[in-house]
Amino acid sequence: MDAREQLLAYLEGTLSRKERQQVLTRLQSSPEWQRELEALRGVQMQLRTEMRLLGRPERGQLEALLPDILNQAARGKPGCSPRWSGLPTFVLVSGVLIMILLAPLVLHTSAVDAVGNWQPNVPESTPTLSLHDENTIEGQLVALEAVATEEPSRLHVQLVTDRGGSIPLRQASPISARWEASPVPMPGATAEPSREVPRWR
Amino acid sequence: MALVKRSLNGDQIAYTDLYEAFAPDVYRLAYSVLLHKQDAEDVVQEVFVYVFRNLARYDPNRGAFRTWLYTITISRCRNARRRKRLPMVALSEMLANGMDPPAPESENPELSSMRSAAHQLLGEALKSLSPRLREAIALRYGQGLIYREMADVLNVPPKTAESRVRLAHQALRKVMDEANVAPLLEEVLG
Repeated sequence: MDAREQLLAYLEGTLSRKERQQVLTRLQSSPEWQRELEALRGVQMQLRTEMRLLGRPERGQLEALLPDILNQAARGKPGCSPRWSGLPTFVLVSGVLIMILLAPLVLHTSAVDAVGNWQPNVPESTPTLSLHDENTIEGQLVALEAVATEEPSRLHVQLVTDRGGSIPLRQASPISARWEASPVPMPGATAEPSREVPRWR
Repeated sequence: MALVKRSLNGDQIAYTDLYEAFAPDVYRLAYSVLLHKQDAEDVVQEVFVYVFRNLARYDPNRGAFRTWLYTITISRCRNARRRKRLPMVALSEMLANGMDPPAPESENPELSSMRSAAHQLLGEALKSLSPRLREAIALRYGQGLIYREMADVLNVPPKTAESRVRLAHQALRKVMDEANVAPLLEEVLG
């Protein structure tokens, strides 16, 4: 550290006790250091004074911005995302997991009517895997249902609530991977063709 | 912090109070860094829209509210600079925005003139600083932050914050020396 750096650090109060003592000793014996210290102190004072005055807002200048700020902030509040905002995370995660589990199978999309009734559009001879899981979320029963068929290869997954609505989560396009192994029954699932319509309550 | 809590509890008036309490400092900081009135207003707007939307993200355990606010402000200033590069500022505009505080009524014309010259010189000197150094000077002397707080805001070690202030100091001193401003300052600060 040169003299100027030491003196500025002294003025800014960032020296250690030992360094501070050294500067004080040097100041007592050096008029040059004393002059330099005074010059630095002058710049520091000037900066302190002027920087606090720099950019003072005019009367009413910032107040005029507030309504627009409040409007913009209100428009962008979190929780307004359009479609999935009301869905519990559990439901979405379950849906994704089931899709992954059933992905290797050969699948088929079935039709779902407007009130959420499950109507697999599957030929009787086509092997189908179906899965039904439910949970109570905030007092509302939510069921996740999935049907996979081999021919044609489709998967259909839907969420059904006890308030009458249903949300299809469809894998509409055929999945190329074919299921070769024998199906291992999963909890709540049957490897037999499911021709019975699983209804929500 | 009571204001933050009230805002988080849905008190709409608290948002206004929060703005009134902090907006002037945010504006001064933005103006000191950008040296442009409209850009500084834009930054104030962006900062408070972000803050009001994300107030729940503020964690008091990680630092003072003011530090969080200044961190966002500096970030927005850098964005603003990137967007349009720092324009050359007309000195008259700078002076019209606070560089030239009104002289005391009792001040004689000669002293008033010297004061004005000193302000002009400082304005010119500030313009000559790099943006990083101007940020450091604005936080240290404009907002009175200590080096540890500056380090949090600038996301640098405290020693770096200190060295930026030192470099800025040296640069400003050089400009002032070249202009032989010392007698002027002595008289004004007198």
